[in-house]
Amino acid sequence: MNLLTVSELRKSFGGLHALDGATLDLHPNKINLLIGANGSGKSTLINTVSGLWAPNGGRVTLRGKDITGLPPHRIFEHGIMRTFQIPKHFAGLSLMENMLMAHPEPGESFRKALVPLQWKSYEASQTKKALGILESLELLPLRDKLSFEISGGQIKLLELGKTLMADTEIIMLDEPIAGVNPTLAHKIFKKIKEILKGGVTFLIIEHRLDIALHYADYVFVMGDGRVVAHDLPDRILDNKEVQESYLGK
Amino acid sequence: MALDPGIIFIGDLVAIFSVYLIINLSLNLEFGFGGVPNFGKVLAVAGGAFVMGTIPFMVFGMLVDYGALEPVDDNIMLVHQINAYIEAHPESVLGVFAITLIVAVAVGGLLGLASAYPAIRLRGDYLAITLLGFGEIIRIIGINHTSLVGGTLGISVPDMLAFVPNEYRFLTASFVLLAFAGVIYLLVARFTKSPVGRLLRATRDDDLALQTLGRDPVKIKFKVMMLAGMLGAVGGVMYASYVEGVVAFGYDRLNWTFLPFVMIIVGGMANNKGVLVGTFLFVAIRKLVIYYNDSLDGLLPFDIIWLDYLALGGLMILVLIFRPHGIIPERPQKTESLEKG
Repeated sequence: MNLLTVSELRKSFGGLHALDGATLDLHPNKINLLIGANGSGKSTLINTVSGLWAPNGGRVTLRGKDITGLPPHRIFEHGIMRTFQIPKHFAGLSLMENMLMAHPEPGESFRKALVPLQWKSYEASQTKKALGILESLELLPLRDKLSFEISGGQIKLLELGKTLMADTEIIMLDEPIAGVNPTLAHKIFKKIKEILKGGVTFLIIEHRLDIALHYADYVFVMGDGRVVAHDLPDRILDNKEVQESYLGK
Repeated sequence: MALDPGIIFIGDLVAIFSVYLIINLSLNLEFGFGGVPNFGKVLAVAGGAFVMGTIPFMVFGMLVDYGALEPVDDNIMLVHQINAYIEAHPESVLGVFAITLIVAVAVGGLLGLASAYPAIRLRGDYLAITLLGFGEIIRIIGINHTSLVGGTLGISVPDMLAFVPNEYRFLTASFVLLAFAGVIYLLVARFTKSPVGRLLRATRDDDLALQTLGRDPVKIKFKVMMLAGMLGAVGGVMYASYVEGVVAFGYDRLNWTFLPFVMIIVGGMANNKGVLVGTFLFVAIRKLVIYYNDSLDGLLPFDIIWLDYLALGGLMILVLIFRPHGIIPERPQKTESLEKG
């Protein structure tokens, strides 16, 4: 059974067809790279699949189950997590608290809140897990800093840490290395490769092909709201459709 | 025996502080933590006060023979009769007050739900203005629906402490209020220290991000507004029982919405200790200004009645300039406190 299938997905904003019948089939347990010129509909695709926007047509299925148009929190419950191009984090929370927010906890129930017995041990184990992840991302010393006090690159690392905490099957990253220096960019992708071993599947939007193609397992190319080509990373740039979508005819 | 003015001052300070502490803790839950700008805080407070103005009459009606007396029309006579009964049967108060509180909590929760329902999908200014409207409605109902709490004249309510000898009555009330406020403070502090506190702060910071992490912010806001409504109503019951009366006119947005906002902003939002400090500071300054009104009259170039507004407004501006996050700012939970299993 296919893991995540997007078929004929449509999304319009007035007369603008941001998605015009986009179709793709994720390769399980691989890094699926999604590229395309600005305005080709990459972010719209992720926003629509993740439930932020309701599509005007088409279907999204997860293991054959229709998840089209579900609200974002339901999509997450189905095991799909996403990040944003401009990282979204809880500015008034510490790094550690941001990490803990990446996965729902029993203690978040209003009824159980006054009875720590019902959530303390889970909270402690999640904290331990988060500490381990922060350590591997070299963010450990910053754990009690507020998330708005850290640098842009560290925020990107934190996003990655949250995907690890969330523990979902599918992770969609919107430009994980935008605005990040090359050293850190490679580090982020190496980390992604490492996470991949846990059996997850990535769908990654990225413009910096020099770095991203190096790590991708499979590449989808979007143009004018459709997936115009897909191929292995070492062949994709020779594709005529791809060249046209970036450079024009 | 007449009470010493100093004792009256302190007793009243403690009582008013306790009432505001309960209300401010509830506002802090929804606004400081949850980010819902409830400019209709007065709704739940008045709801609780109106319950205090109606339910005790109903419950005592089962214990005392009212004859032809009506709670609103023959208010003073009836209250007198009930107070006499309380003096003879102090134990009845426990049951009646408990029932009143339970009804108030239910009404407060319902009012929270009712105001949240149309409002919760709005954002920022629109949400605030809608909630402000809700706060206005209840006072207007109270004024015009005479059989509820006596309309423009208001009503007296039975004195729940009528059995306490006169010379201790006043201080006992202050003490009971302080005890209630203390328990509520501890419960709220425990509540916000749990993962729910973090969840609420996250909802406030970015509800879209929260949604993509598997939580439903609409549901969370509903719950927190209901909870805050319940606590606000308890505050209303406490105030009405302290002043032994309900006058609908008194439940205005200045006293029960704006002042609570000022107190929690000055004290420090999303921080219960800050709320404690802000509430104390404000209530104390207000009481002091009123207490020394007479001796200051003539020394100031303006009418003395404006002094407490000026002092409180000035303090708020100073705090916003020098400590924009309040006297005791919000603090995230340290990792160590999360780690303890």
